[in-house]
Amino acid sequence: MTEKQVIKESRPLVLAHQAIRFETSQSWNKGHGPVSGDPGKSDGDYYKHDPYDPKKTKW
Amino acid sequence: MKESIVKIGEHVFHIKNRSFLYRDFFRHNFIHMVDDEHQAIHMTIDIMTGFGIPFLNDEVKTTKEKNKLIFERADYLIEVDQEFSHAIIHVNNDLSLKHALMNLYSCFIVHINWGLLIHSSCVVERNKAHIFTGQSGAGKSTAAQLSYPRTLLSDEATILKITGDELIVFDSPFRSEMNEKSAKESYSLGSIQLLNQSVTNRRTEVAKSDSLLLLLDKVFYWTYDPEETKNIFKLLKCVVDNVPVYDLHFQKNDAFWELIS
Repeated sequence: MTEKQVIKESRPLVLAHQAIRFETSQSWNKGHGPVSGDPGKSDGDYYKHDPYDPKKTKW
Repeated sequence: MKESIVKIGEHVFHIKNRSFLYRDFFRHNFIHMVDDEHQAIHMTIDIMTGFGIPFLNDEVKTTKEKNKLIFERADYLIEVDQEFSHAIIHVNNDLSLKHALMNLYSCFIVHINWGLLIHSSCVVERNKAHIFTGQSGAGKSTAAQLSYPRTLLSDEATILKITGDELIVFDSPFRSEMNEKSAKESYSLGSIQLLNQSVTNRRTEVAKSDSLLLLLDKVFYWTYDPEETKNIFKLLKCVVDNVPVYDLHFQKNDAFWELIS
C-alpha cells in the first residue's frame, strides 16, 4: 500500500448509502370504512376493498 | 355538482364534487364550514370520478412540470399547481379519494412549512396529545382502542403543526377504522411513543438523534423536490427538540397509560 493511498483512506468513508424513505403505504390498513352509503355503523358491510385483514386478529 | 367548504387542520378547502358518489365520504369524515364569501380558502379541489382501476399498490409516480405537479397511482391522479391553490383529483373509489387527499394535504403542509402528517394514532390525556407510532402491526390502532374513552385525534394519520417552540395536534379526518365524532379542539403534543408489543410494560426515552431517524419513515410524504425533503428534516428536528420520544413496550391492556401520565 503506497503512502498516497493511505492518505486517501484516512478521509471519512461512506460505508453504505440508503435512500431516504417516507411513508407512502397506508393501504395496508384499509379499514372498515366509512364509505359512501355507509352511515358508519355497518362494520364494513358496505366496504368493497377486499380482502380486508383485520389487524385485531394479529394479536 | 356538490360544493362544500371543509377544514383540515387550520386549512380551509373548497371541494367541488362532480359526482354525488362521495357526498357521504365528506359528510362523515370532515369538519364542514359555513359557506361564507369572506372565508379565506387555501385550496380549491375538483373531484372527478371514473379514473383508473381499484387499488393496485402504493406506487406513486411523481412528475414536476413547469406549472404543475402530478401524482399518479393506479387508482388516483392528482394535478396541482405549484402554489398549491388549485388541485384536480381523479379517483376510482372512496379509498382512492382518501389516499389522494392524504397525498395532497401532506405535500401542501410541508410546502407551506406548516407541519407534517405522521403515520400514527394520537390520544388526548389530561389536555395533552400523545402519539403512538411504529411499524405495521406494532399496535397503533390497538393502543388507540385501548385508550377509550379518551379523546382520539387520529387512528392512522396524525396532523401535527410545528412552530418554533410548540407542537399542536389537530383532529384528523384521515381515519382508518374508528368512526368517532371529530374533536373540534387542538391539543399541544406531550410525547411520542414508538410501539413494541411486549409481555411487560416499559418505557425508555430515545436519544434525539436516534428518534429523528426512527421518525423519518413515519412521515406520510410523496417526494417531488429535494428542497422539500430538507424541510421535512428541519420540521422533524423541531419535533424531537421539543417533545420526548420513547420506546414503549406494552401489554394488550390500558396499563401503559400509567407510564405516560
